[in-house]
Amino acid sequence: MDSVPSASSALSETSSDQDLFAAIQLGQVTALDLLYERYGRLVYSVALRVINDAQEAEDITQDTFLRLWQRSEIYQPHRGSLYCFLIMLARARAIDRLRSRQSHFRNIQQWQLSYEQAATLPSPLESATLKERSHHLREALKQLSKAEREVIETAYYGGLSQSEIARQTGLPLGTVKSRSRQALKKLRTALKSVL
Amino acid sequence: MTRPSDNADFTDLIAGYALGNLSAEEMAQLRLNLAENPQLSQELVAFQEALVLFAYDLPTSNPPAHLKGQMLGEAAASRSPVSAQPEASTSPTSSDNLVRFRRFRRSAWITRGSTGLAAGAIAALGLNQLQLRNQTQQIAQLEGRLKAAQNELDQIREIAQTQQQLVTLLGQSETQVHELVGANPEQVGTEPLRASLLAQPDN
Repeated sequence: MDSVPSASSALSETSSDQDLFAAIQLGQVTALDLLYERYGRLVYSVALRVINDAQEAEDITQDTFLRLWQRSEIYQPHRGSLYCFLIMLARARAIDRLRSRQSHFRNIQQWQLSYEQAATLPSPLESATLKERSHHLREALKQLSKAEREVIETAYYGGLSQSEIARQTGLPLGTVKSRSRQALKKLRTALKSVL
Repeated sequence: MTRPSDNADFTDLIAGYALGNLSAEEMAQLRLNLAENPQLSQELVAFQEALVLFAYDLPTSNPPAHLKGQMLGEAAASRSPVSAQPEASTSPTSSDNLVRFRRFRRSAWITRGSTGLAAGAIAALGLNQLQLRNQTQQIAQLEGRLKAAQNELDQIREIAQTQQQLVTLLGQSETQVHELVGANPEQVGTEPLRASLLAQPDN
């Protein structure tokens, strides 16, 4: 896990995220290529879901990977999975495009806090393939109602603030918050065995 | 044994944090809890990972094919990442970049070599594209000239064919040659128009 591949290490589609990241730190473009192949679609989809603009989603996707490439120190492997970091960064940047700089700063701070404070052991999902992750998620989502899934998606990937969601749905702000939290807690419980 | 992470209030704070909907008071409470029990941050990360994992359930869209090449091109053209050294500013200035770039040049020759190769490949690709564009333009010009020459050649062949027919006719004994001379009274002092008419009795 902590092994760092040498510059001459052979990278392939089966290389772990951590090996790819270590190679990115060494400046191997091939590693960035492989990482993009692995997560480019996911990052782009998240950006597109949040910002609903293909051109902006392209910019955010490119920016996300280049950010990691140019400032690899912003990700610390022992504090969370790489795919989680990429998606959170892409989402934060997408929100940034939607909202004010102040709001962006709050969002950036949000994921920074996690990585600053958290010193986690790698979760089983970290070494899982995309297919395995999708499988675990599908199994977990079976335990959530459609409404619960929608509230998570809207709350996190909808690109709307809680107040905006409350206005849009006509629900009290407190209800919006509590419902989304309850749904997330349920999802986390459903994923307990792998997270 | 009851762990704080099992506490409903605490998990509610974590969920709210992951979703980004904590109030200031709730955030303060969460920070306090985490300061008292740093290991609880694992649970916080788990909630965030759960949210991120949810992305796999979003409708997926393929980024445009050109995006990957564009991104890799920029990555290769830009400097390579430096060794992990935290920086105070999240927005490095150009001088910061210069310092980091110089530091990188001193310390990571292997990185520079691989990136240099990649950058060289990109530059070579750009040069090849430029050469290709020039060659394409040259080919188009040559094709135009070739077409004009082809037309001229066709005309010459047509003339030659006509001349050949005339020579053939003149070589035949039965061919009669009639000289025609213009007789226009208004063309006084000028050379009269002349023409030859070849005729064969059977035609």
